[in-house]
Parts: sequence; C-alpha cells; structure tokens
Amino acid sequence: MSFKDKVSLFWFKLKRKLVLIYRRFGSNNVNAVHRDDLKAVLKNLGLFDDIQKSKLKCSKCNCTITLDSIGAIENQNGVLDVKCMASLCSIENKKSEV
Amino acid sequence: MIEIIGWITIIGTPLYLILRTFNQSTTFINWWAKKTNSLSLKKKSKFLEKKAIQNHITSIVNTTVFDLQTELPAKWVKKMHIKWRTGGSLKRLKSGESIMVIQPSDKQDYNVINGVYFYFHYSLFPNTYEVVPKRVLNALSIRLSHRTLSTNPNSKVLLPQFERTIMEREVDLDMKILEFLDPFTTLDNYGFLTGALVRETDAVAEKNRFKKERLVFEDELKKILDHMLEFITKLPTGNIPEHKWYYENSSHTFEFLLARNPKRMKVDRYLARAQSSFDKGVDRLYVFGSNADIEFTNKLIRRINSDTDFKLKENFNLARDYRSNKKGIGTLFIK
Repeated sequence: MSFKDKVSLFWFKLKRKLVLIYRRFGSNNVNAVHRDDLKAVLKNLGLFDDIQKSKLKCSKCNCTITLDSIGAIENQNGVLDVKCMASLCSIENKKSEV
Repeated sequence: MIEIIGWITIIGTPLYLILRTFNQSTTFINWWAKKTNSLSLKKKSKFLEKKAIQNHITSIVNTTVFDLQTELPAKWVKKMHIKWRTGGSLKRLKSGESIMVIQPSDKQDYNVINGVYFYFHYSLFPNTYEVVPKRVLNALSIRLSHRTLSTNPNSKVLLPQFERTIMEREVDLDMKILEFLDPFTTLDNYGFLTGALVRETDAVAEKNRFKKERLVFEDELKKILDHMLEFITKLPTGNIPEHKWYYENSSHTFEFLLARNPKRMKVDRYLARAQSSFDKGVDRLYVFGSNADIEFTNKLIRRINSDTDFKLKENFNLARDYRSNKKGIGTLFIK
C-alpha cells in the first residue's frame, strides 16, 4: 500500500469515526408528569372530570382509565389519546379480574 | 460590562465543553444517577426525588442509546432528556406530543420498563411513522427495549417484568405481531435488523407514501424479512446462491456485500463485484464487515466510494456482525 493510500485510508477512518461521534450529541425531550402533579395536568388538559366519571377508555386495550392506571397522554392531531399503564393491562391482571 | 462578558466566556466555554464531553460518557451518566438517588434518599425532597427518577430512567435508556445512535439511521434516536410538566406550566399539549406518567420512586422498575418502551415507540421512524405499519413499529420497539433491558445489571428483575407486561399485552392485542417479533430477534443477532431492515423499511415507506403499494406494505416487508432470514440461515454454510445476495421489489433493489479477508485477499475482487452490481441496476448496496475484518472492510468501503459509481449514503456500526460476534461495521451505498 502506497503512502498516499495509507493517508487516504487514515483520513477515511477518522472521518467515519467523527461523523458517528457527532451523532451522539443532542437530546430528545420526553414530557413526563410525576404522579403528584397528575391531577393538575389532567385538569389543565380538561381530562380530569372524564376520568373521575370513568368515561375514558385506553386507546390500546379499551380498559377504563382511572387515576391509578393512566400511563400516557398523547395529542394526535388535536385529539387527546389516553393509554393505560401497560402493567395494569397485562394478561395476569385481566385473568384475575375475570 | 465587557469585562464581565469576557470572564463569563473564558470560564463558561471550557466548563460547557467539559460538561458536554462528560455527558457523552455512560460511566459518568450512571455515576450521576447513583449520586442523585442516594442524595434523594438522605434528604426527602420532591425535587430530588424527581431528579433521581429522571436520572435513573435516562441513565438506562442513554447507556443503550449511546450505541444505538451509531447503529440506527442518523437523527433517529438521540439521548433521552426528561422534561417535567406540571399543571401550571402546561397550557396546551402540541400535536404529536405525548406525556408519560411517572410513578413515585418506590416503583422504579415500572418507570424504567415503561420509560424505555415509551422512548423507542416515539423515536423510531421519525419521518415515516405514519406510513410504517403499526405492527412493525411495535415489534421493533419491543425488540430494542428488550435489548436495552437485557444489558442492564438489573436485567434479571426487569426483563421478566417487561415480558409479562408490555410484551404480553402487545401479543395479546395483536397475535400477528409474532410474525415480526420472532424474526426480528434472529435478524438482530446477525446485525441485519438495525443494519439493513430498518433502513429498507424507511426507504420503502418514503417511496410508497402516496402509491397504491402502501396498501400492501406489510406484505412487502414480510417478503424482505423472509429474504433476509433465508440469507442468514445460508450464511454459515458459505453456499449462498447468486440470486440470494440480491432483492428486488416494486420500489427498488438492494444487494449485500459481505467483506471477508481470507488469506489476505485483495479488495479488487469485491470492487469488481460492487461495480457489476451498479451496472446491473442495483439501487442500494449494503457492505457489512465482521469484527475480525474491520480494517479490511474500511479499505473496501473507501475504494468502493472512490472507484465505483456508487455514492456513500451512510456509515454505521453494528452491535453484532454477520457471524453473530460482537461488533461489526456497515455502510450503505446508493445509486
């Protein structure tokens, strides 16, 4: 391998590493609400009354959402979509309910 | 005034750079998570408790994301940062945004499992998530979450819990997810899941966005999946028929090139093969290199880039190479 090829290969490997390292910068924000702040957030979103009256259903498994079982709230094109905590929808829990 | 700005710049810039650099280290992230946790246990404050939960989840997610960032397509997964929302600060939730409900610190396992799944579910296929079948998206989120939790020191507790809750729920709601879930595990063990399949899914989704083929996208993905699985099963035999290296569908064609360096073989033979693929009309060429042949693969990739008509689209790392050994590399070339 000639000296020119060696330099070119070194430069190629360095560039590859730098590009992959650069990908590691930056972060994605994930919105989260602590259980203690949940009531205030639900009131703010206008969902609190519906949950109190057991009107909300999980968009995944169709179970009734309660204050204890709510897992995530998602805005899908202006419509608020509520999902339950996965653990409360597990087979074991469903079986025990039956 | 100018002096103050000057001092802030002199002290602030290196401090900022140091913090950014430390933040790239998984050891530092984990150490910081443990520190805040022990502090929150000593001093009972809600602020510290939230900080401890936040650091615990993000340290587990980010330890894996650190590697996944170089495996998955660029800008797909970034480090996770939890932004606490409180009643007062939340006026309206923007379209496409979601909020995860976090349990108190005594339910940390639940927070971790849900946090990991939630994060992958909303990070994958950022530009084509409307087109990619939900079943495929769910199966991929499960696979990557499973991999994340299996590398955690507490995996003996977390994994069974994840399998019994989230995995079981997804399977119970949609049994057909197993058509993807099981093959994804096999592909992942050979680096073809994060290396080729996700990139193919994304590319086909983008091309089929407004075409009738979108109606049968899932069937198309199954064909690609079957092709890759067949390719993998034939790999150990070393006897792969010529047509199995190549795949063609209505959107495009792709081909695999596995770099091996037996008996100091020169890259020219591979180069000729790459050029003939281009002449044959192959749109996308995947070059994979095993852990033992990283140096040789780098030489080959550089030569394909400089000596053939293919354009280098993306370099990436692999958690497992095509021989199922730890760490490999890959590159995608396009026409």
